[in-house]
Amino acid sequence: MREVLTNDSTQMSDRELVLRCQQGDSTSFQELYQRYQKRVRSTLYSLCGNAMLDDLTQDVFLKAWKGLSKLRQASTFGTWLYRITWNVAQDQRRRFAVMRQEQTEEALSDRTAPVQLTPDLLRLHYQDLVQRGLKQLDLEHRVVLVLHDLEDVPQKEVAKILDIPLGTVKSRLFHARKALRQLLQSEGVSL
Amino acid sequence: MNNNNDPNRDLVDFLKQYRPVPPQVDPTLEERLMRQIIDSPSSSSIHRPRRLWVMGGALIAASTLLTWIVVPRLNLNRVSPVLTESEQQEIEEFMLTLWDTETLNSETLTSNWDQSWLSLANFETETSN
Repeated sequence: MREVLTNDSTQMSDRELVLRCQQGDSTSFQELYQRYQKRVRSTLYSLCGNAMLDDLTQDVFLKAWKGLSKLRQASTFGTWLYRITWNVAQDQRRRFAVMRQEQTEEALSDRTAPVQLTPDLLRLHYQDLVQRGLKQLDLEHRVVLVLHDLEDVPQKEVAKILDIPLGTVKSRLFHARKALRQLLQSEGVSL
Repeated sequence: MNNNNDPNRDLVDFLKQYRPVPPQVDPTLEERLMRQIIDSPSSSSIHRPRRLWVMGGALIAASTLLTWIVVPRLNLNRVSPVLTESEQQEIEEFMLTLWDTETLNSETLTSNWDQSWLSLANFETETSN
């Protein structure tokens, strides 16, 4: 029976699943989790690094579950979830600003270890560059670039998620790209 | 963004290709999350705010209905600004009665006030003497 339900839920739209969740159906929420977990986790990783990544992911989905009743337009679940992700990332920054700096340095030093072990050194070098480039941006600029350029969220949606004007999104995207391009070029990457 | 003429295309492609890849997700995460979700209040608390909205909406609708439809049909709103002859007489009588009463009261009040003033004056005179 459970299997049948799961198979059915994979065919459902986000809207249908959200409506079922609003009736208290946790199985539908599990389907939503499976659909969005990678995107949420990847965004959180780009914004906050490795520290407490799974805890933050869990926090996002718990907040989503508890707040589903406030979601009027069930079809906008994806945008809404990104908004929660952004809020969780901001909270994390506020609470652990100092700690995160230490963890970031730790994470960077952790990443240097596999470089020696993995054959694809160039790839790892570039990954490290992008990681460093993202970290040098402040969170407001980073989130715009991550959502738009890496997660393919349209600019209008980004503006909605972050609750800022479209012009601000464009401006932040411009500056974020410029800063990243400068870093990459200074490291010898020709674009 | 996907336009080929986009000058940032090369940068965006590079970023996508070498974006930071998160480590493997903890396989127990989903299970832990779902356990918490099942334990946390769901349907009953989820529907409470909606009920409040419905009740609030019903109250607003009822008051609007009362203001715009029911009240105009009541006699309260049918009071004509033009008075009939009997109504005019009734009001005149009422005003006269009211005037008399007020005059009488004010006279009494003034006389009382005069008396109290005189007694105060007398008291002051006595004290100065």
